[in-house]
Amino acid sequence: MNSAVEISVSSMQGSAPVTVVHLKGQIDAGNVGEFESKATELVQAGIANMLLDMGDLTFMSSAGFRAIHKIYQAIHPDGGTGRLKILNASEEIHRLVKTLGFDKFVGLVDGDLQDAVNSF
Amino acid sequence: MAQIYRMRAGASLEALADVRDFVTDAAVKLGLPQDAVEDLKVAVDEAVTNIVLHGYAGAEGDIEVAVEGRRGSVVLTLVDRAPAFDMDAVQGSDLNEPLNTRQIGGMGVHLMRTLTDSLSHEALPEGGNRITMVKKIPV
Repeated sequence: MNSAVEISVSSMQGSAPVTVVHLKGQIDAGNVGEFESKATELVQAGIANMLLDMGDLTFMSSAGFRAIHKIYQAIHPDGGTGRLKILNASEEIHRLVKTLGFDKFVGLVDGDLQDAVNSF
Repeated sequence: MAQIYRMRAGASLEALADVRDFVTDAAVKLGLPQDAVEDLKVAVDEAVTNIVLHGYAGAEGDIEVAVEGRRGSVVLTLVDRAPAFDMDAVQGSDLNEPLNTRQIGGMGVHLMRTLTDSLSHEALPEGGNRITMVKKIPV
């Protein structure tokens, strides 16, 4: 049985426009292409801020982090922080974000979606 | 008698979810707490991904997965018949490097090492590889 991930995108407004990518299911090396394709499409469309809503994501391997790394490099070509955040990651994904040293560059936010959007 | 849980998976990324589910189920039955089970799930996913992509590299083959309780630990072994793969030779990306200049990729083996209490690899004399991962069951 394949891993399945459902991806939906919405645009929300805080003090800045934020593209919210809702991820549901599991991301592994077998299906990460769907996430990568959608992210590439958004980045090429010129979005400035991205919030990865992981409230319904139950698993993500390093393949998913590889995709997030590419998103980061596209959104922050000169480094820095603030334009790519993760919302409501599971405990394990929180742990992986820190283990892989992504936490200094990709914000981790927990709680309400609008509050997360307002944080940009 | 020690309980050993076994499955055989085809060397395909499509098998990842089944392997994760199998390992999760076995580890829980062996008494591993939830956070350790989640670590083991990631570690086995990374290992199987490497076997499929770099070991068999598109060729057909099987991966034998075994999970057992042994002296206060959960021991997971993966056996394949792919060419010998030297895990220690894998150079991960520098995790201290800023994300915008860090090389993309190379995180899988690092996660396997970090998320397990011990990790070993042996090239089998009859061909193939055995990877052994251990996760201690807290007292």
